[in-house]
Amino acid sequence: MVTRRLASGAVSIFILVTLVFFLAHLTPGGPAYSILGQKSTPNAVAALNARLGLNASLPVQYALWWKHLLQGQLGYSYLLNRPVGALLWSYEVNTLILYAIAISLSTFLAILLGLAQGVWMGRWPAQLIGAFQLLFYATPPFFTAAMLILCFAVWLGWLPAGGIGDPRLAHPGPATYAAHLVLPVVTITLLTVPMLSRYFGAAVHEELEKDYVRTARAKGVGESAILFHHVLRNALRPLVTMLGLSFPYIFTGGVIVESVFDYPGLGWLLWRSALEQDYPVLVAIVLLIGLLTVIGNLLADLVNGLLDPRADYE
Amino acid sequence: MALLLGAAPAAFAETQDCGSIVIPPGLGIGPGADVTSLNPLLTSSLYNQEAAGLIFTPLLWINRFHQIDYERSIASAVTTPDNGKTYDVTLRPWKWSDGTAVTSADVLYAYQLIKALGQSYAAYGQGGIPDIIASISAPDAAHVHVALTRPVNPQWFILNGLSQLTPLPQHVWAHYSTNEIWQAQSDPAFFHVGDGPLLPQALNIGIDAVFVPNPLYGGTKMHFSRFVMRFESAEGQELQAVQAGDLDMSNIPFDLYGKALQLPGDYVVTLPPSYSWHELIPNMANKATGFFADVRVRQALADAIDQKRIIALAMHGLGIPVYNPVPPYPDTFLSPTARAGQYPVGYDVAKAKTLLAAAGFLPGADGILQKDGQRLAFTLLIPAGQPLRIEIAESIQQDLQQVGIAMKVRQMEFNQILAAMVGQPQAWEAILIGMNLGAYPSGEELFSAGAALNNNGYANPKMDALIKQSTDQPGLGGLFAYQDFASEEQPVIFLPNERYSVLVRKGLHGVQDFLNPLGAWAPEKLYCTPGRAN
Repeated sequence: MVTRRLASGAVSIFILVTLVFFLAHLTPGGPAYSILGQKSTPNAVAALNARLGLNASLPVQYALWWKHLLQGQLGYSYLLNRPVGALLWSYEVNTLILYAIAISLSTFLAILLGLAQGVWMGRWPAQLIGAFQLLFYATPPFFTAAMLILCFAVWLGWLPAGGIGDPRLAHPGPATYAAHLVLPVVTITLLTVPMLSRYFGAAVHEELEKDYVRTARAKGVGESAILFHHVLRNALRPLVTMLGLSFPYIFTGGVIVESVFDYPGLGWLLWRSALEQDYPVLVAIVLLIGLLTVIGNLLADLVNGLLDPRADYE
Repeated sequence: MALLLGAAPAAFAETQDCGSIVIPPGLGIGPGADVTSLNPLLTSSLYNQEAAGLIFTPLLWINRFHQIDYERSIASAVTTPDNGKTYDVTLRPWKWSDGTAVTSADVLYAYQLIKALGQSYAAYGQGGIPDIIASISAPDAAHVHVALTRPVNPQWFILNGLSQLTPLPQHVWAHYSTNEIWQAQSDPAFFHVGDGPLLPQALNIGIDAVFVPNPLYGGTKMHFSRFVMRFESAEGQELQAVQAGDLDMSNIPFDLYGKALQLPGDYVVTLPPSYSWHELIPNMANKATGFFADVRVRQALADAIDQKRIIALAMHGLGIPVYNPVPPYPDTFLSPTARAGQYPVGYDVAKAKTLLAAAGFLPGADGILQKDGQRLAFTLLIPAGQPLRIEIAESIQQDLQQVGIAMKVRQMEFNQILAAMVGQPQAWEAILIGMNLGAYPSGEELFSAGAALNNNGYANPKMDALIKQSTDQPGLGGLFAYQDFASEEQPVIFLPNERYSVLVRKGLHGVQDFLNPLGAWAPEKLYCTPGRAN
């Protein structure tokens, strides 16, 4: 099963990367114009394209890209003047920290809210949770982020407005980094919890209606034992699937959240490289997203298989 | 809240160490972008040039009045014994940060590197560099002799050409190939030897560039221990960052100017106008807009546009009208007629209508002027996501409608606009962008027929002759004649330039002197007084 899934994933990634490579290169403009700006002259653009290797035909550039990839090289960023591999890694670390914290917190809160919603479905606590889910599910991420900045950074002055560390300090400690993570983490959590908890709450409610729960109750098993020993395990499956789908985000970040908070993660880098047509960076991030999507789905299926041995993911 | 229009007098006796100073790139110039290169030869980005200017002291420091400030230059004198063909530069004693002397070999090395880079050199062709130099030699460690291929206007060559030869540490860089230097342009370790006020400590692309004072800097000592250029992705975010204490200064977007004036604690410094203009570039090379080739149509556009309204509405009153290719501030290079405020164009709707009628345009059924079945209509491309340009375009749109010209506005990514402008004359009709000028505002790259940055097909032999006169003959007569003729010709439709305002945190001073409209910063001018907000 795993081999077959990996093989089909590899084909998907190949198609994805090929499409992005050609579409990015066929978009009007080009990195030379981004670099030269208003000093773009036909001669300067031609000279820069030659230096960047963009004067070769597109199929040749494409073949070279694969050749370099197979040699373990992701290329060199045209605009940021750094090797793409090193660049990706430095941004990846930031994204990984941000999203690992945010997704862990979101999962914990989603389980709590989902359980409450499932248990009290149709009653006022579940309705209140539903209203919260609807409110934040419908609120655009940039608005939530901007409001948090306004309240906690500008008005109250409790937290920094953005960035990753205090630029005034030569050696900012962990506390500074933590302070800069609070608002982005809260934003991502507020965006993620409604989605996860809604799925999980529905799953909990569905499980509670099933025969095995009725049987357990008839046998005198306590409500908390039913909930935590039986229902939780079965209801976790859709949540795991959702988490599997969000796995790539842990690594690639959210373009909007990272941009609003000026947080230097992969999402920010993706947005920028797309805008300025920094092809090597753009294609490398797309490759990473593709890989992580395949891995995330596979992991989700494997975990679901462990949670429910009856599941067949052929 | 204090609104300062002049440099605040300093009470240096009460100053204190500022600690870290954090500012955004592009301060006082426009929306910021991050620093991606520290090499002054490899990038035309203003933001990178600001950073590189902190590491390397220029051969000639040009002040805001476009005069050489020898106090801040490596050169102590420049002479031209034959008034234009050869130049002798004397260097003053100066040291690199590793203690090695800055010598004429470092100037020669910079020139050789520019030659080796060829078209990859960011300012290739500006001031004739490098092709106009026939030979360059070093009679001794403190003198450089430059011979040109032909005699030129010394003022033009010194300000636009010679000033590019910023000494580079030959004893360090000569160990590397051009390609290695290219690849190291964002590596702060490569730039560990400099002769400017600051040295790079870290460059976190997308986040910040960190500098520390150069301990062997020969000029005035700094009043801070760290200097950080911190990138914010939007002007509004810069303002928030100042309020939150993350930045010490920020540009104030025009649409937030009123709000910034009311902020408690911080204060606003309004700067002199930048040496630039906005321009509407009419494409004469596109058959669909061939009507722009008629000078009367271009003059009518200039007459129809109410620049004062643009300044009032889009720039919150902080701008000055521009009618020719020499911005009014400073008035160093203004022709006598321009200095007197006499321009052949200006806001005059009746005159615009008369000019268009004389050019044969009559109102069509829809009220839009037309001639031989062709409507006087075009699409204006503007860079996406720039509120100021959007407001300028909307104001122009209304003005042109009054005289019977239909203009659509379309936003596009800036690099896509440039690609169309440079290589696809049939893909665009008109473009609204800004133009920054060098220290000597000659037009050989802009309006000469076939010039590198002349992308709209404008060609006029008289203009070519006047531009050549301005660059080749000593004195300002040629420059005056060129600017007056350009004012008549409107090869592009000149539009106002803005005066930026900067929000400054309490206790930080010297902002006016720190910022130079030509882009170079003087960090030693910044100082703090007790009460500085940290």
